[in-house]
Amino acid sequence: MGDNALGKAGYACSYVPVEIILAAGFKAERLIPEGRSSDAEGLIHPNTCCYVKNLLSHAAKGAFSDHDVVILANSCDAMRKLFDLWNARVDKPVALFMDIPKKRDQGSIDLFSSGLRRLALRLEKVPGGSEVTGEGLNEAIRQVNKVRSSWMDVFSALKDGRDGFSGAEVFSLMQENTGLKPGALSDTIADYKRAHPGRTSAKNGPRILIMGNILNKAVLVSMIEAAGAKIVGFNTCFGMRHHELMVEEDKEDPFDALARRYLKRPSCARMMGIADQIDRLRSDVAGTMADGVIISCVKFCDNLSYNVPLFQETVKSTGARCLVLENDYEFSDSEKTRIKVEAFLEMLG
Amino acid sequence: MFKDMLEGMTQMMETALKEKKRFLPLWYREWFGLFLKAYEPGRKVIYTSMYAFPMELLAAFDVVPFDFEVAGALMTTMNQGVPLMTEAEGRGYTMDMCSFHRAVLGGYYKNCFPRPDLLMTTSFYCDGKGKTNDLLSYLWNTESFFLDVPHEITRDAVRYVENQLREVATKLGEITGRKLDKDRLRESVRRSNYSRRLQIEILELLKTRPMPMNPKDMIGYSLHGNLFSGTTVKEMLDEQLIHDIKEKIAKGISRKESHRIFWFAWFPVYQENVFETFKNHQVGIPLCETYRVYWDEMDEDNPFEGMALKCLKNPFVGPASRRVEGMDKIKEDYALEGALLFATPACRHANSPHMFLKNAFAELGIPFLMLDMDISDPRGFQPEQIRTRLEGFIEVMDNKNRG
Ligand code: SF4
Ligand code: SF4
Repeated sequence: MGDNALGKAGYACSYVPVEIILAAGFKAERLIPEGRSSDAEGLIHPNTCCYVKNLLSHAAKGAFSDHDVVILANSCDAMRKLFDLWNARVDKPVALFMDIPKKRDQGSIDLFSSGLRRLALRLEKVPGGSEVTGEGLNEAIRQVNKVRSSWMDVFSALKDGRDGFSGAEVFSLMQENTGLKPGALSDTIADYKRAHPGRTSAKNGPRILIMGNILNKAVLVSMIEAAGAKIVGFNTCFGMRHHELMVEEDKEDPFDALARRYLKRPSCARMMGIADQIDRLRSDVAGTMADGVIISCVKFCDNLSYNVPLFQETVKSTGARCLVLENDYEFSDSEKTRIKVEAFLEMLG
Repeated sequence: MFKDMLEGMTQMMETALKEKKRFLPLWYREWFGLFLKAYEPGRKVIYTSMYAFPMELLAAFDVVPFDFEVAGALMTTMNQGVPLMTEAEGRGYTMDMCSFHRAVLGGYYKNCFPRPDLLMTTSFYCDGKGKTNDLLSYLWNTESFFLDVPHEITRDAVRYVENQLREVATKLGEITGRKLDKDRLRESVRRSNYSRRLQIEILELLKTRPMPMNPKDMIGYSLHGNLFSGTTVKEMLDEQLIHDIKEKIAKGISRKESHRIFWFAWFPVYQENVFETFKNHQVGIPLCETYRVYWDEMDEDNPFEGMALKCLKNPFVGPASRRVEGMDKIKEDYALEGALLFATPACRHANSPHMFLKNAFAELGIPFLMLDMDISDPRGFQPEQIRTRLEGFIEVMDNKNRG
């Protein structure tokens, strides 16, 4: 399952349950395009999230045509409209839409669970797909839970400075994991630990927590570390919050278990409930003993940008400092970013 | 400040109404008067998004609905919006956010608006609306409710929305200390159905050439009129509007009309030159997207399902193609020669699929213009640039007519 699958299914939001993709016989691959967002501006309004524009410009050029299907979620206004434009402008691969409630109550879990069932049925029908059985889905849940627990080990090692993980190494592992290879990931991590026995983090500089939305370029991470700081956590789309909370295994209704986990996991800014997100930020700062928080925000993401002022206040209230860095997904203005990062780190001492 | 402004404007409307009963002052008087009630001691104030939330439910309770976006917009209309926005910007709210939301957040910090007893909004139209509701609820330390409306209409989705509306009814009952009166809700739904029929009648009258209603009022009322859905006020306003339009048609309208266009999305709430430019070039706007009747009459005996369906059938829910459904007939009925999308920069959900709208009109052989211009922040307004764009668009329609 997953590792040996022939077909490929792409996804772009951390709320897409990869377990269903694997159980339908596809390899799950996160879409991280490396194109130019501006190329999409004839198709979509320029003031749209740069990640979404990049996905569209890539897809319209056929760059994802080696995928059999992509799943686009109702993550935000931009993603929802991307689905419409994908249907109109992209020949291959076909896109499936997945709705996600913005609330976490029982009614929302029930609705999400029935939506996931429909998603599974649609995936089965994609050429190359296979029937999603309860047994198959439970197997995928067990596998992905293993991946999650490996990731939580990595994040806790990063926080504690164990096993010699640098922020750049963890970030590159996060990017490599596009194929979500459940079997291989724990081996890679184990190999890594074996290769650095007893290595602890050498850095004594300020401890930095990176939080925000999609972060696809290593440039920010490397410039923080190059300036002598230590990265202690990533609370980004595919960072800590993506891996936290296991799906209950071997439930009679695995769709319900998935719906529950995906809605109850630490939330992204798309979810309602700023108070919970503020509490979470406070506990992340305390848990990682961060001296500084860098909020990395892809431009035109309303979900995150509306939260930023209250996040800044929260960080301040913990005694840490906060830097907000907006990017265009491609980090085309990395020099300006570098100057801001260096000034921030200098301030932290 | 906001309260004083409302008092002044209500007074002006009263004076105008003494001269002659007309739709516009009547509408404004009711609107400002309702917002003023939110300042009265003991009133239960419900922040809401009246152009999306099924207001029929609120009409069944003794509460004062207060639309936070509209309140911010009214401040802009009175040239008081920018100080509110700069207040929010100074606190870290980016200028990429919708200016409506910057204004209301600034208004919170400047203590401009009444204190809510409950805040509620919907997942449509935009992400920003839900976020602002959430932020205001946190800042006011007051409970909020988010009506999550799914993308697809399925039996589960209808039940989901219906159950949430029942939850809202329970909350409103707790706040007001009086449980939902089913007869009162039935009455509110009956009134809403009647208003829907009146709206259809108005839409028929708007086919008249030249158009018998000021376009900015038409777009404004299509949105803000919903504040009164399910109430006698809405019936009274619609009846008065029909009366005024009929009177105008009977008297005869001497104005010429060279072109007629369809209007998408919202409209600028500050002093601008869009409508004046169109007027000068005799361009009529007989219909806008937000005035279409997209929902069915609601079953009085099953009001929650009816209200849920009204939400789910909103053209801004679901695929973008819904926004141009039935456009061929509308083109014929209203003799349309062009279409315009008013694209305020932060309105991702309304603007992102502009290509759909453009293509749909290209298929109908009609020119389409996307007019980038802020809805509520006048700071970037460049009248000459706007005039040039509009005149270019009008020229395309002229050439087409000649051609
Ligand atoms: S970064 Fe924000 S706007 Fe972009 S896809 Fe993610 S949630 Fe949507
Ligand atoms: S203009 Fe658009 S972004 Fe602003 S509040 Fe209205 S729907 Fe939302």
